[in-house]
Amino acid sequence: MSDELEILKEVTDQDYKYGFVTDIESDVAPKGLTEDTVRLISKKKNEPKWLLDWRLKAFRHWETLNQAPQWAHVKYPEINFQDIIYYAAPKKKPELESLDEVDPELLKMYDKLGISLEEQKKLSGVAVDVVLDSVSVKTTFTKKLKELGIIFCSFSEAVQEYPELVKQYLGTVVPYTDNFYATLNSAVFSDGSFCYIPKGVRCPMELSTYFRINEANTGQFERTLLIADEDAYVSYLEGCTAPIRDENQLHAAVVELVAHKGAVIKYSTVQNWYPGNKDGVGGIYNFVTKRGICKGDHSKISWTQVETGSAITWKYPSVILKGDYSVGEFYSVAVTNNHQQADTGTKMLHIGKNTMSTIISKGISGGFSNNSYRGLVRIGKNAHNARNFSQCDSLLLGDRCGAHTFPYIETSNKTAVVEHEATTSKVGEDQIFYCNQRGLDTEQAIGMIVNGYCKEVMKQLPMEFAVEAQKLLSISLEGSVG
Amino acid sequence: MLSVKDLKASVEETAILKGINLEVKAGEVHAIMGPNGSGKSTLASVLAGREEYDVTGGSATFDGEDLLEMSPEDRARKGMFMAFQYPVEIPGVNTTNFLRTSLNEVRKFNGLEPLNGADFLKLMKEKMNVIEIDKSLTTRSVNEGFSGGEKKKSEIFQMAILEPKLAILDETDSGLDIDALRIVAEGVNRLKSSDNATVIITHYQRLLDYIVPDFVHIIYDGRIVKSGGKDLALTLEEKGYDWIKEEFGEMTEA
Amino acid sequence: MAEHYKSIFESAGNKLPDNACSNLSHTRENALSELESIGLPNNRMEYWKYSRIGKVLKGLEVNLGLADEELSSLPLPSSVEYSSLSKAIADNHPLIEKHLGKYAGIVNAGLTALNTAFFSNGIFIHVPDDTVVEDPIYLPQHSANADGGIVQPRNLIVVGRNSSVTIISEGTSGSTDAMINAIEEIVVGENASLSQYLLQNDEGNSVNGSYVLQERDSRYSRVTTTLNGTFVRNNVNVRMEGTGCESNLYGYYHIRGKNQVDNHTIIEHKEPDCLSNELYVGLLDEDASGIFNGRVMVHQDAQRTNAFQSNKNILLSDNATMNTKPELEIYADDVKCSHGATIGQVDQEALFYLQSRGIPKQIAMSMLLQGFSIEVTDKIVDEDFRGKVLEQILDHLNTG
Repeated sequence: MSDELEILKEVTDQDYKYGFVTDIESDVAPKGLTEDTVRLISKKKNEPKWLLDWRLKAFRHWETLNQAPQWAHVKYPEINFQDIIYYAAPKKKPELESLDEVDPELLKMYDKLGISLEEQKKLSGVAVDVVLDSVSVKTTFTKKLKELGIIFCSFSEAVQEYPELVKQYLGTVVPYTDNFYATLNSAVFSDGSFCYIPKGVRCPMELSTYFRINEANTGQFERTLLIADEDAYVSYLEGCTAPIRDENQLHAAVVELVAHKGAVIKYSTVQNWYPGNKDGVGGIYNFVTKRGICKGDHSKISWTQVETGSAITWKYPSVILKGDYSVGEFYSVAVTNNHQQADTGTKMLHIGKNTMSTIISKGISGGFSNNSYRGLVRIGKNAHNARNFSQCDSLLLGDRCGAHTFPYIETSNKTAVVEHEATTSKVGEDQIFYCNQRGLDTEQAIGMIVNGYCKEVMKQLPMEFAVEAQKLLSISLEGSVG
Repeated sequence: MLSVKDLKASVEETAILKGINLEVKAGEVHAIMGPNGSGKSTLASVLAGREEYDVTGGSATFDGEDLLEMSPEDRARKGMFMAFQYPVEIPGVNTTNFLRTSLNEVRKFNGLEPLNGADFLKLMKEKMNVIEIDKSLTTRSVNEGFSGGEKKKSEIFQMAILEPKLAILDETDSGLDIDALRIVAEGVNRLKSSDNATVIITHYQRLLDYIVPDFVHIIYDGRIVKSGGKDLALTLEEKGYDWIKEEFGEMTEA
Repeated sequence: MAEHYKSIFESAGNKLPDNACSNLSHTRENALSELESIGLPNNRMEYWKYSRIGKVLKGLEVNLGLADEELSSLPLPSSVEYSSLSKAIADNHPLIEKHLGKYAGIVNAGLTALNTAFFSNGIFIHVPDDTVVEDPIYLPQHSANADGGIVQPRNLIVVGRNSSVTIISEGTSGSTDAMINAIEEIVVGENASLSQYLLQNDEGNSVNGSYVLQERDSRYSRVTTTLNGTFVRNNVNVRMEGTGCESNLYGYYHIRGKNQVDNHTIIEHKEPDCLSNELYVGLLDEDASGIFNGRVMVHQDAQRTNAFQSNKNILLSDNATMNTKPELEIYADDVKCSHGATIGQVDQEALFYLQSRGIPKQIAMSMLLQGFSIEVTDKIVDEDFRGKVLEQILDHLNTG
């Protein structure tokens, strides 16, 4: 321990040596990304040396990557990575005892979104970890979870309290070399969530995090690490909303899931960030790397996502099916309207025997938007009796939008069975008229038809999320049909 | 209640309705009969507000208001109900949820409080007793995978829930076996009152064995060429549509 | 590298057929500069991702072979023009000026650019308007000549308005130290109908690029059967430039050894009310690898498009691989499009059923596998040729 302190001191001193203006109390780092920025972030978070080293390795690797990936079916102006603020934190506050102590401004925002903390708290069995501009403000229900040995805290806290766990798993599913944005995140991630479910424990409540992007011009680099030990079960909810902004904001999160033998992880996301205005000005760039590994036999990882926000979404929650008899699932609804662009899908990498994966993807495009499904199903040489079923449907709501499907299927095992189906269609005028004749206006009708179309995915969401997600679908399609 | 005057409509520049006149008052049952292609279903569609049809002349008022100016949903909210000839399937949309949304829209329009879930289920149960409909249909997606008979029954069930002032049944009897026909007809009869009216559009006389109309109109080549009491339907049944064609064919050719 | 092609081009000089009145020399120069800037394909390019093109091209030089295509004498209606491409160029045929080099896009297509810059000969067929050609036209084989290297044959097929014709080609025989880089440009005129059947059952490497332009109300149908070939890449690009077109692309492949077959199709719906159908089925045995990349694009004006695409595969060995990517890219809303892909194995239930009726496993297997190909071979309308294809498919199954 004292060694670590020594190292920390050394690191701290070094910062000054590099002449960085490091006011620990200051909330916002200067624009731009250099090695100093990385050191500053690490220092602010009082991180051990191994973590700083890891960040620096990532940073140096990132410097060698001269270009952000170009292959996705999205268009946007080049991002100036030196024009982004890589660290912002709310002022340090004393530990909060109750909601009364939470910033009333924050509560107001939640109220607007209909997901007030108070309501959340009352909801049975939901622990809420609020991440506001990269740093956790409040973690609730921690004690109750602690009794079960469940760790659910901010990433920074985990680094301080459970460094050995973080060290053991960090970067094992998404290595820092994985892709441009994952590398960037590895270098500068500010905070996020950490969760560990011990052996044989079934987490009795939905673990929930509401992410918010709050400060203008602040890139968001969350990092989530979730480990379910043998035979553990957890259902994790991630919800995102953002207030209106005129400038594009970059968000490059990394999520890593590890499921040991017999463990089950259900990860649900509702993403509703600012998509830009009707003319395509502003909105969040959402470039996320999410991946889970079914490490042990009979483990299962299930991703469910409802994506309605962001100007650009680039996201492929994936599962590495390493354990025999492991199961990967991906249920997705992606809605794009106005000038939004989404290129999203999944990768199912079958390595173990008798592994099984299911992909259900529903894309809905309206306005001038473009919505792409991009997926990879790979059956490795030893993945005997692997099974995959994919269904990717697209629904078009106007004649200026696009719907695209790019599935990659790679098979190297003769006992595998892979099936992929995709359809593209439009909302039937007959269906809309039928609803009109029953007194529903056209937008209501579309909302209803679209929700029906997405039912297979929506029913995968936990109850309280499903209601919100349904509302979102209707709201985000407002004005999509003339 | 419904007043149609010299209504003309066309689809893709082809005139289909060439001057329809029809007066429907509360408490009345009207039957509109005619051979295939005479314009029966077009009339229903125009009254319900389908966009593909261009109204090229005439007028239609509903409770004194200009019907043709209203959106389809407003017509529905004001109490017009169309039982579709071919009810469309809407996958994934639960029938109960659909109906509740529909009913609450109508109620909202008329200044009534929306029904909560419990009250609505009670109402559904009550109406299920009126219309013999299998409960399982209400838990399925709207019309999805329903047989022809089930679809038609579901239409009448929806009508029972929404309690329209004016119901237009567009060939509700076609494709039904005799048992389903009886159930549908009994449903319609039970919903009949002195405050509402029914317009039955049909090709066959047999539905009229079960629902006795006050007026029968024969539509041919876009016009109502003959109106009368229920006996007119019987005459049609006996003589078929040929005599209509013979009698009125030349006139319309001119 | 850039200088490399240029110097070959200069050394070829006026040996390449050219004609004064057309822009052919200009077309060749454009292709050359495109080739200089992009070079030949490699595996880092998305559309060559799983391909072994890099290995195949290694050490191969551009072959400037000028061998004349041997033309079979066929009972063709006298109105049908059928000659070597070099002759049509030399004759200043007006259709050369109008069509040659107009459809085989060279942008980002190194091999097409290579062909356009260096092609020396090939076939020219012109079926005039209102002509129904009863018997199929058999095209001669493209062959790599003794010098090896990359050979550039080039065909131009123009089917006139209201005409109908069937064209059959059998194989592109090459050798393992050579590669045939064939390009054909095809115009199917208004309300015309073209059926094209190909049988690939020879060793060697080939990349076969077909660029099809369909005018309104035309029908184009293509059935490709691939049974052999060290490396066979078939690029089929269909552009529907008029309303009411119908396009059918079918393929069957059964390969073994270390062979690779790679079917890439692009169907572009540019106008309303067109239909496209695509079905590729295949068997991969031993160490063989298969690639399918089907891309359907529906442009904004192509309302009421119907597009269907399916790719079905069976892996027969532990070392065989299949990579498939059926893509849809849709910008119009009133469309019905679907695609599907499956990779699986022989239905074990069915196999057992046949065995339990006394049929030996080997035969039962080949019966089931033959059944797999029927969906495709049924689309060959010409009975004689269908018979021949079926026979070879069966032979191939039984020699396994």
